[in-house]
Amino acid sequence: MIKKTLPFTLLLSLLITITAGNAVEFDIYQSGHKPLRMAWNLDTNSTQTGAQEKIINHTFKDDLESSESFTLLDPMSFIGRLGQGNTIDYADWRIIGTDIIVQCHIDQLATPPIANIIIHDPFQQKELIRYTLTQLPIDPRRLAHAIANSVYEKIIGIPGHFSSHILFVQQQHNRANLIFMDQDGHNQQIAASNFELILSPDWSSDGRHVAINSYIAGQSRLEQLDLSTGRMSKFAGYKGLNSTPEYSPDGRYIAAALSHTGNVEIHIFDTQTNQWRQFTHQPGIDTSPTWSPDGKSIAFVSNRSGNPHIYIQEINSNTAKRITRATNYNTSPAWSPRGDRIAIITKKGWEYALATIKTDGSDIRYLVTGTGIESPSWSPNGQMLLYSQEINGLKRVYRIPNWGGNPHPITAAHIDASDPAWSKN
Amino acid sequence: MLQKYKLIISIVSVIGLLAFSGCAKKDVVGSNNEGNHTTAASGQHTGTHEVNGLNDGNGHAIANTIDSTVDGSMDATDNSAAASIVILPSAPAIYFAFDSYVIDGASATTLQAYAAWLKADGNRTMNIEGHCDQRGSREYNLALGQQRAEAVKSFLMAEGVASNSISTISYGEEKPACVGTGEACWAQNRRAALSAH
Repeated sequence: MIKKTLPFTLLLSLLITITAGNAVEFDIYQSGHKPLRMAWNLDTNSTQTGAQEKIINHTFKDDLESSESFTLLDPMSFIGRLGQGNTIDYADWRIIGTDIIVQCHIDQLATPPIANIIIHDPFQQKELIRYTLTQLPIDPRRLAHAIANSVYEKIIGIPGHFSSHILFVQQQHNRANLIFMDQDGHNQQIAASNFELILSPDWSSDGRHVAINSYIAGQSRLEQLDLSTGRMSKFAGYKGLNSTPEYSPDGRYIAAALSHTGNVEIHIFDTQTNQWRQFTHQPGIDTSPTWSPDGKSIAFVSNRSGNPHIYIQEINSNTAKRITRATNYNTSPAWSPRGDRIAIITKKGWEYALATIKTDGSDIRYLVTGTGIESPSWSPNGQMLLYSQEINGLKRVYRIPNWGGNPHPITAAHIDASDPAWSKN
Repeated sequence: MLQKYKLIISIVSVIGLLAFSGCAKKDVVGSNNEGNHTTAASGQHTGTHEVNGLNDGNGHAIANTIDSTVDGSMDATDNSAAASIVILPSAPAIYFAFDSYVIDGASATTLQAYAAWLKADGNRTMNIEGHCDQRGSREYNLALGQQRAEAVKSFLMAEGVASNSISTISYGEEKPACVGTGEACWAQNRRAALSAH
């Protein structure tokens, strides 16, 4: 692995304070992040080159640019040939501000396809690495995702998330459908349909199952959906609330908020023994559990101190530690798969905000403010976040880097889309 | 017209009996700091509270008709003479403050009337739907709505209603009674909807 020590790693906090008239003062986290400028060249020996090569090029470009860690240069601006047989004049590429050059040759006649990749750094004036990817998918989109994952990891040092998937809930004509799609919005399919409500979907770590909180005929329940068979199996249908299911990282347990004791408490379901055990025992609300990546702790929302705050409790402990202090409204925790931060919905002045905090509650970074901001969900590599925001009565899912920046909508403007859930790998 | 007038008189009589039988027993339910259950402020109930929970048998509220006849609070739960003719209250919901599931005095009066109606016939049941306004997170609001429904259930049980005749569900902010923004609208959505059968 090589790690590019360019501005990407130099995340600086810049508090921008905007005050306009009597407007609420707010500050949004900004980093010194700048995308790396990449020159990318693809050669293939496919006999049906045109269409396939175009798909691979577009998919690779969209993947890397969607990460907001790279900008791909327009090939029309190239000042030299980048085929793997060509000599590269690093000085020329520096002139047009090229941070990284990637040469990729795909042998599509091989079964399965093979890719030879060479990465150069014009500023260090050297080839950084050359390597071969084998066992690649035949489908050009999946093939491009695999190459993008690899190139991203070689340069950034963190696995790419481009082969991952996203679920969201589409509300249509008072019915709820669960929609599956690739992380780039392609391959949309209906995974479950015609529910009164679907809330809080969560992926198992192996990507085979989804836990949902569904409402059918005025009853709430928790169900597991097997994505390969479409089979739905209920694992909680207690009186009252059955909500916010969340798989443990090893996939064996599901934490959820139930109210059959007369109080909303977090309980943990063992999928091997089909047994529940009560995890929290406090008057008041305990809900929205999220597991630490090591599976040893759960962060959750509790109003035991009078207002909703984020608490962390070890799995075998009865004692929870409150980690949020600043405002009186902190909900929807989502523990980063990298373990270092927790995304929350909090209040910022009169508005709600998507923010991240360290696991001790410090170093809050407000990423987006507004009304109707909900349901943070991390990309499998912890670099990006999904969330939904309601504007003019319609919810839409957005993606934003964990270092801030401009939100990018990933669902269409005309559909009501909420409850995004990014797959775990 | 005469029949309707007689009906109103008889309703007023029942309410009068209820009203003079004593103050509201309990304003239980709800929690605040550290989650301890607390007692909401118990105020003197006016006639308006009782009549808001009644109708004329044809689905029409008769609040103005009997408003002035009732003086003081009511306790519908221990008036056995009235039990056979207890009328289903017409108030479809009780309302809550932001991020609260404390039942206030006016709501307590409504719930006492429901308790009386439920206890009058063991076959009667009630479904309580907890709802929230759109502010805050949907998952937390789902839990908050459930706590509102549970608060109502606890109140009714404290009034002697059997647990198995009450069901609860929360829709959080998913099914607003009023679509829009602003406190006037939000206040209508922070509710426990009461459906008695």
